[in-house]
Order: sequence, then structure tokens, then C-alpha cells
Amino acid sequence: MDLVFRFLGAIGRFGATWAEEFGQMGVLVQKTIKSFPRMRTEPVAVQMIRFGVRAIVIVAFVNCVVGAIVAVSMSEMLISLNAVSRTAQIVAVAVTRELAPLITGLVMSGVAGAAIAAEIANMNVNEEILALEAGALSPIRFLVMPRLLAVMAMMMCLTLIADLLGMFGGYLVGVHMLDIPPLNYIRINNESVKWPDIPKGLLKAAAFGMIITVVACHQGLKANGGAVGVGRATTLAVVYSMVIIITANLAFAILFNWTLAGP
Amino acid sequence: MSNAVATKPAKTMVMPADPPVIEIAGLVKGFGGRNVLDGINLTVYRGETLAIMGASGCGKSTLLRCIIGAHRPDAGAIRLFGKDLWSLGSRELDAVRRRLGILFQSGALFSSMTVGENVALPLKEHTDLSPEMIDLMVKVKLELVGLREAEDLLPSQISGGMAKRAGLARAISLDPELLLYDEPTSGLDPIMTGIIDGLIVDLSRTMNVTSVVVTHDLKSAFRVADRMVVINNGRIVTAGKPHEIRSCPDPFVRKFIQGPVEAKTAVFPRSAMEKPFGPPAELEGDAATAARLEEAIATAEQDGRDAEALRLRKELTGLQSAVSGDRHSG
Repeated sequence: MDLVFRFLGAIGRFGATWAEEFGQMGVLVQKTIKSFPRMRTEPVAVQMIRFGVRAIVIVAFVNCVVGAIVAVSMSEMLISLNAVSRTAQIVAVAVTRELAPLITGLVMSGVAGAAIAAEIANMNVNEEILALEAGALSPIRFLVMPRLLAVMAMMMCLTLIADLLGMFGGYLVGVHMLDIPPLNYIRINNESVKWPDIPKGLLKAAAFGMIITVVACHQGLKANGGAVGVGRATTLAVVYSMVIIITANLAFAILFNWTLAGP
Repeated sequence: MSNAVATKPAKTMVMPADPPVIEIAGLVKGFGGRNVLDGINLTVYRGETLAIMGASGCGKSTLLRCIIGAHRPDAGAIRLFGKDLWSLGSRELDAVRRRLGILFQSGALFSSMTVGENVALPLKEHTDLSPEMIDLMVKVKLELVGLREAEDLLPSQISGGMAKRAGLARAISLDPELLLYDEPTSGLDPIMTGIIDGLIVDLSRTMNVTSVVVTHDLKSAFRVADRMVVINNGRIVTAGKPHEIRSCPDPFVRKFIQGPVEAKTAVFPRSAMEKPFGPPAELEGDAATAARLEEAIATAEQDGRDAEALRLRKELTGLQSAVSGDRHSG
């Protein structure tokens, strides 16, 4: 019986911790939105270059590989069904609908989320955040808002690149390993892409960008305890944002494929 | 000498018609069930330099953070420039904060910006000055702290002492009425300590700034302060002029002031110093002159000869500025 109570207590504490985290992040989002009217574009551009442009190569490479993996994984079944040319269809749908935004979100939670959390946590333990506040300068406006807008915008750009590179990965496998004629592959690919999936993917990308930035900034702003605190904030930012992104992706999948389209 | 905290300010500094710059009444602040500050009452008057002293962990820095509104008190009230800090909206709080500058223990420079950009930031954000005027102001402020040549360097490229001076330049960029210093000399060598102390005294005199210096560096506190308070276990033990603090009979204050001497004697008894290493080395040149001046200032303050103490302090500041100048030109 004691074990049961301890188990329930642990679940309760876990729930309370997450509820508190979400509550604090909600307040952070609210404060950030309130600071939009005093937005300056220059810092946003700087952050877009820092977290977006520098992530292009890694996002492109990872999505290309993921597209290729989907093609290779499906090939055996499609060959047995004598429908190998359908590889293009499966890759195109999987990439544009789910994989491009999801994989880009996970990669960016490592690239941008970790960098943002470490930077802000370091500023926090070095009293730089306090110095901003003491100087009547809002850390939300100076640090959170430019990063939020930059990561959301760059997530959308990177997801478009991921769409293209994911399909290109499938193309490489389809044409060079499965001997599908190139023009045939491209034709099936183009016919298979459902164009509403692209803006839906971009919407997801923007939401994932918001999750990454809010989680990272929240962890950074509440960091304490020197170098250990910075490390903890960085780890938690990446882990939490990955968990939330994957959960949010499920919610989007239900919303787009079930609720909107009907069961 | 009493435990009453709102002692009278230095006569030469105060304009009686002005309300106090800082009024703290019954301040209580705790963390994790322990009261770090336990009923602090403190008044700081316009133009004076107040040193808040105490051992590490006694609540000095927490008090400073409460004064800038970073910590919400559990009980009590803090009034800055006559305004109750925690009854203000965010815009009014920002307006109050624009009237103060703070030098943090580490300097707290924004690491992604150059020293010049750090100093320029408050000017860019809180004034309508043209970029050319801001650039000029930055140069003036950096010149004031002897860091003109460091304008384009990043915080990672300068020493700890330079970072503190750059932090000070940023703190005074908006010509604040109140300057707060959190352990301004901790971790610095004696010469840099003297330079920072000189800057605190200079700024207080030339800009007529009200200053609050939180420190556990006794020498430094006695050099810069017009008035002092000593905190222990979250409570103010005593308050008064430097010579009053020196002669305070409170056992904690006696121990706090004399402690380092006793500790030094215990660790390095004179006999031990003389035998293996020979007699203690004599100070030479500027350092010896500075030491003699400090001793004379202490004696003058103890005897209540304020004018003499002030004259000697100016002489000491001049000497330190000259040393600083030599270092820069060298």
C-alpha cells in the first residue's frame, strides 16, 4: 500500500512540476507578446543569421538522409508488391506531411534551443540579466522576443528546405538504388505532394520554433548555480523541447488528419 | 553610537530640504525558510556615500537587490526617491531605475557587446541623443574611468579590474542620482582596489551622486564612506561615521574590524616571518606613500578631524589617479 501511495505521490509531483513549468512558460509568452509593439528588427535579423542560416547545412543533410531512409525502408515491401515506383509517393507524403517539420524541429532544438538556453543561462549567472533589469531594460524585449521571432521565421524557411531535401534523398535512393527512371520518379513525386500539406507543415514549423525558443529562454532565465546551472538549463531545454515538439506533432496530426479531414 | 539606524547624514553632503534617496523600513526577506534580512531600517541621504559592511552571506547583496527591486520583500517597505518601489507599475519602476546606476561584483558587462556598446546601450535605449552624441558620451564616460583605449574590446578581452571600471562607466552613462556598488573591490589587487576606491570618491564629489557601497573590504569602506552600517545575521548591528565605527564597543563590530589582524597574526606570527624569510619587506615608492596617507586618514577620522581627512583623501586619490595614468600610458 505504501508503494502505491509513493507511486501516486511521484505522479502528482511530476504533474505539478510540468503544470508549473507550463504556467511559467505561458507567462513568458504573454510578456513577450506584450513587448511586440516595441520590437526592433535589427536584433531579429542578427538572431536569424545565428540560428537559421548557420543551421541550413545540418538541417539539409539530416532531412536528405531521412528521406533516403524512408525510401530504403519501404523498398523491400514495394518491390514485393511490384510497386517500386510508389517509393516517390511514400517519400513525398511522409516528408511534406510529417518528417520535414518534425525532424527540423528536433534538429533545431539541439542547434538553437541549446545555444539560446546556454547563452541566457550564462548571462543569468553572470548577473547580466539583473544588470538589464536594473538598467530599466526588459530582458524579454532584449533577449526573448528577437530570438522567438527569428527562430519561428527560420523554422519555416528551414522546413521548406527540408521538404525539398527530404524528397531529394528519396530521389537519390529511388533513381540510383531502385532503378526508377528519373523523370518517372519526379512525375510521381509531384503528383503525390498534397499542396495543402506545405502550409500545414509551415504552421507546425512556426509552432515548433515557438516551443524551442520559449522552453530555452525559460530554462535560461531561471538558471542558477554557476556552470552546473548553465549545463542543467541547456540539457533541460533540449530534452523538454524535444518531448513537447513530439507531443505537439501528435496533436497536429490528429487535428489535420482526423478532426479537419474527418475520421 | 547606537543601534538606531537612521543616523544623521554627513553635514557637508546633505541638503535638508531634499527627501532621503533611499528609505527602508522593517525590511524582511527570506529564502528557504531562513530570514536573510530580518527587519532592516535604513535611510540614505542625498549626496552621501554609505558603506554597508558585513561578513560574506550576511545579507548585504540581498539588501542591494531589494533596493533595485529584483527581490520582493516578505515584509517592510522600500522607498526610492520618495516612491514606494512595490506599489509602482512597471513603467514607473523603470522610470525610478533610470535614475540609478549599479556596478555589479563581476561588472556584468554584456558579453556579446564591446565595452563601448555596453556603455552606449542605456543611452541608446533611454535617450533621444544622436548616434554622434552617444559616441561622444561613451568616450567621455570611458575617459572618466580611464578606459578610453578599451572601447572596442570585448569583455572577454579585458581584465577583471577593467571590467569593473567598464561596468562603472555603464552605470554612470545616464548620469544617475544614485550609484550602487556591489563588492566593487573584491578580487582586485591593491593598486586596482585603490583606483576603484578613487573613482567612487571622485564620482561622489564631482557628480554629487548618492552612493551605496556594499563591501566586506574594510580598508576600501573606510576610504570611501561618509557613513557606514554593519550587518550581521540580517540585522543592522551598528551605524555611524567611520571614526564612530572604529571605536564602536559592539563585540561583533570589534571582531569584524580587528578579525583580519588577529587572523594574520595567528597564521604568520612575527617570529616565524622573521626567521625563515627575514623581516617583512618594506613598502617602497607610491605604495609606501599611499599606505602612510591611509594611516593618516584613519587617524584623522578617528580624531574627528573631517576636513583634514578629506584633504588627505584627495591627496590619496590624486596619487592613485597618477599611478593609474602611468599604468595606462605604460
